[in-house]
Amino acid sequence: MSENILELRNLRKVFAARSAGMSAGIVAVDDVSFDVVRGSSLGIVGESGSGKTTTARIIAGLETAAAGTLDIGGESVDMSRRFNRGPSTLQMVFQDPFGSFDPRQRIGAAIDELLRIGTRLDRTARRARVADLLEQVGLNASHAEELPRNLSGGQRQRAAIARALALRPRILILDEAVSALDVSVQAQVLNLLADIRRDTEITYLFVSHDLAVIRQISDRCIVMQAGRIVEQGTTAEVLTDPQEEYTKRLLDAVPRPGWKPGRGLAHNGSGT
Amino acid sequence: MTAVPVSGVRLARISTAARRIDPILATAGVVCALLVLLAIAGPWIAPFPPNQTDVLAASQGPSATHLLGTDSIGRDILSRLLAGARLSFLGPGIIVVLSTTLGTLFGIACAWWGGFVDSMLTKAFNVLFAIPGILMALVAAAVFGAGFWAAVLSLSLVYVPYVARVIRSAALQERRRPYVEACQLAGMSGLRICSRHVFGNVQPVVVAQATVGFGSALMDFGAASFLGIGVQPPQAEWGLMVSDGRTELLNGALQQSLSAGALIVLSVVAFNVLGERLSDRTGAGR
Amino acid sequence: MKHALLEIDGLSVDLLGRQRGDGLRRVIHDVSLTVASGESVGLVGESGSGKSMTTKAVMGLLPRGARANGALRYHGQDISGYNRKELSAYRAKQIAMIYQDPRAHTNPLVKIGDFLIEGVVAAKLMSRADARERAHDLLQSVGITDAGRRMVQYPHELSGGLLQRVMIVMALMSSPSLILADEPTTALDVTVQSEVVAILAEQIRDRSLGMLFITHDLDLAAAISDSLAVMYAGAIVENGSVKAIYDSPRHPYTAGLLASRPSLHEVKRLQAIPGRPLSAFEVAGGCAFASRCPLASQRCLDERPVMREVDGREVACHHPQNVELPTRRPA
Repeated sequence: MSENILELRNLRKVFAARSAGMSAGIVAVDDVSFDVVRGSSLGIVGESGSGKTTTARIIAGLETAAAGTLDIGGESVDMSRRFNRGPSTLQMVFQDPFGSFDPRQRIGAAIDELLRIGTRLDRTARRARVADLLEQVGLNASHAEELPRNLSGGQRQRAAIARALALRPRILILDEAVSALDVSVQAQVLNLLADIRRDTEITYLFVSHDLAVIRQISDRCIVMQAGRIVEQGTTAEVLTDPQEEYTKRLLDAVPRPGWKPGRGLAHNGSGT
Repeated sequence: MTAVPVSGVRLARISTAARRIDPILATAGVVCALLVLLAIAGPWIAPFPPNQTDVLAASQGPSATHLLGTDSIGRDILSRLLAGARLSFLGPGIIVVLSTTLGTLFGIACAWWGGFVDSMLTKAFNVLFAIPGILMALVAAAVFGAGFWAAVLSLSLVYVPYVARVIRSAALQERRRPYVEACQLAGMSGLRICSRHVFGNVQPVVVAQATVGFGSALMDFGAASFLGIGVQPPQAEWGLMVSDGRTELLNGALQQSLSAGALIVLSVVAFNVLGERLSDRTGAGR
Repeated sequence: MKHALLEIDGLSVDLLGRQRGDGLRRVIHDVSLTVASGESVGLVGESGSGKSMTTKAVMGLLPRGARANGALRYHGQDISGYNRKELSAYRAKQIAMIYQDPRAHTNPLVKIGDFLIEGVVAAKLMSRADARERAHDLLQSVGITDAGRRMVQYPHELSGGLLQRVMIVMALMSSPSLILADEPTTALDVTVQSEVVAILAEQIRDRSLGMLFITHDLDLAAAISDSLAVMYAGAIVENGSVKAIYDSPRHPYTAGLLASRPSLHEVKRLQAIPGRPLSAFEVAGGCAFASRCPLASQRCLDERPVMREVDGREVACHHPQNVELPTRRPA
C-alpha cells in the first residue's frame, strides 16, 4: 500500500495589499488541499493567475503561508517559515534555464558546492558524484568544466535537473521546467524526467500551463483557477473525460490536429 | 549531444574578447596607470627635494634647472608636482577604499534583507545625499582640526551612499535570479550566497563605481586642500599648490597653479572616462 | 491562380558578428516563399530557424549591418530597392505587423485611442475624426464591446489578451493588404490564445487579407493557415498545403517535430530529435539537418539538398520518400 509523501490541507495565501487604496490583499491560493503518493507524479495545471506557481513555491518553502497544514513524509512542516523543508527532502527545477546557474560558476563547481554543503563526501567522491549526475541527465562528465553560457537551453535545464538531484531529494518540484525549451528539446527532457522517475523512487510535483505536457508527465493532476482547485483526479480521467466546465474550456482551447480556434472560451466575456 | 564542438566555441570566445578592446578605454586605462605609477615613484624621480627652499631663487620662471620654475619660497615646482602626486592620490585612494567597502556591504545587505533594514538604511543614505562633500569636510575640519585625515574620513562618509545605491540596485537584480533560490533550497547560508555569488556578480559594478568615485574624490580632496581644510603646508599636494600659486597669478606667473590644476583635471578626466567605460561594459555585458 | 501579394525570392541574410572583427554570420539561407492575397501562410520554426529575421526583412527592418541578398517583391515591386520615403509608405499603408509582446510595442503614457490613430494620421491617410471613428468600429469588430471606454484607457489597464486585440486593430487601421504576425499569442494563456487567433482568422477572412503567421507551434499554425512553410537553420525545408504537410510530412525534421510533441490522449515515449536546433551560421556544409537526422547519408553531409516537388509539396531533402509518417489521433 503506497503511502502519501505529501499531504496538503486548506492552504491559503494572501499577498499583502501594495497600496493604501486596496482594501484587501490578493488571494493567490484559496483552500487548496491534495495528497501526493510516494513515487508518483502530480501535475498542477492552470493559466496565469491560477495560483499554481504560488502553491508550488509555498510547498517548496520559498514563500510562507499563514493558513493550512503541510505534512511531508508524515512530519508536519511549519509553513510560516521559509527554507525549512530540508535539502534532501525537496528540490526545485525552475523555468528559466538561463538564470538557473551563477553565470560565473562552472556547472561542475556549482553541483560540487551543493555536495560540499549537504554531504560529507571528500573531494574525490564528490567529483565522481558530479560525473555520475551529469551522465544520469544525458550530459558528459566533460560538461562539468563548462560555464552556463556555453551550454544550450536544453543542456542547461538538464544540468539544473542534475543539480536538483545531487542531494537525493524525495520530492522534485518542477515549475514550468520545459516551457522555455524548443519543442524538440522539450521532448528530450520529458523523456529524461520519465527515466529518472522510473529508476529512482522520486516524487514529482509538475507545474505547467501545457495540458499535453501534463498528460505526458503526471499520473494525477489538479486543475486550478483563480486560486482554487476546480477539478482533480487521474490525469487520464481529467483530460479525456473532464467533469467541470473550466476544464472542458481549457481542453477545447488547445491546438491539436483538427482543431479550430473558437471564441467565447476565455473567462472574461467582454474581452480578455 | 551538441553539434558545435565545445572546444571550438571556447577558442572563438578568446579571440573575440581580444578584439573587443575599446581604444578610448585603453587610452584612459594607460593614462590612469601612468598617473598611479607617478604617484608611487614621484619623490624618487623628482630632480630636487620638494621641500628644499631657496629664497634667492624664488618665483623664477621656467629654466634649464627648474623646468617649471620655482614657487614663492624657491621650491622647484616640478619636484613638488611629482612628489605631491603621492598625497593627491593617497587621499582619494583611501576615500575610495573606505567608501567602496562600506557602500558595498550596505548595498548587499539592503538587497539581501530588504524590509526594515533596507528602508532604514535607505533613509540614512537619503540624509547623507543631501550633504555636499565639501561641507562635511568643513565640519570635520572645524571639529577635529584641518588636515589629511579630517578630509579623508569626512569625504569617505559622504561617498558611502553613492556606492551603496548603485550596489544595492545591482545586488537586487542578482538576488532575483533563480539560482539564488536554488542555493537557498540547498541549505546555503545567506552569508555564503552573498559573498560568493551575489558579490562575485556585482564585482564589475563595484570596480566601475570605485573608478568613478576615485575621479570625484580627486576633485573633492584637491578642493579641500585648496580651501585649506585638507592637506596643510608645507606638504606638497596639487590642490594646495593651486592655492599657493594664486598670489603669483597676479604677477603673471601661471606655472604653479596651472600645472597643478592641469594635473588634477587630467587625472579626474582619465579616471572618470575609465570608470564610465567600465560601467557601460558591465551593463552591456550581461 | 491567386494574385501573388508577397514574393520572397532567394533571400539570404548575413549579420555582422557581435564583436568588431567577427565575420559575417549567415542567419537566413536562400528562402523563397509566396503569400497570395486572401491566403494565410504559417511559418513554423524553433530557435535559430530564422523565422523572425525573415519577417524583419519583409518589413524592411533588418538590423544595421545586416546584408541581404535576393529579391523581395510586393505586388510585383522589388522593395529592396526602396528609398526611405518609399519604405516608409510601404510600412505605413501596405503591410502591418503584430508582435509577440504588446506591452513592449505600446507607449505606456499614451491612451489607447491616441495610440491607434497616431499612425494613420501621421501618414495623412485620414483625418483625426475619421481615424477615431474607424478605431472605434474596429475595436468593436474584434469583440471589445465597450470600445469608447477602452479608447481613453492606458495600456496597463488592459490585460494581455485585450491589448493584443488592440494590436490587431492597430494593424488593421491602415487597411493593409498583408499582415505579419510574429508569435502573436505565445505569451498568452491558451484560452485567450484561442480567442485572439479566432479573431485574427475572422478578420483575415472578412477582409481578404494575406497573412504570414510565425510560430513555433505546428498545431496552431495548421489551424489558422492555408499553407505551411517549415524552417530550420535559416532555410525552408518543407513548403506546401497544410493538409499535405500536416498529415504526411516528407521532411524528417517536420516529421520529427510532429512526433516529438506530447499528446493529450496518450502517454508514450516521445520520439525526440537528438541534439538541439541550429542556426544557419553553425552549419558547415551539406544539409543543415544532417547532424540530427535518422536518415542522414554521406550525400546529406556533402551536398546541400535543393527544394523540389515531392508528393504535392516542396521539400529540401535527399530522402523524402523514407520519412516515417507519424501516427496521430485526430481531436
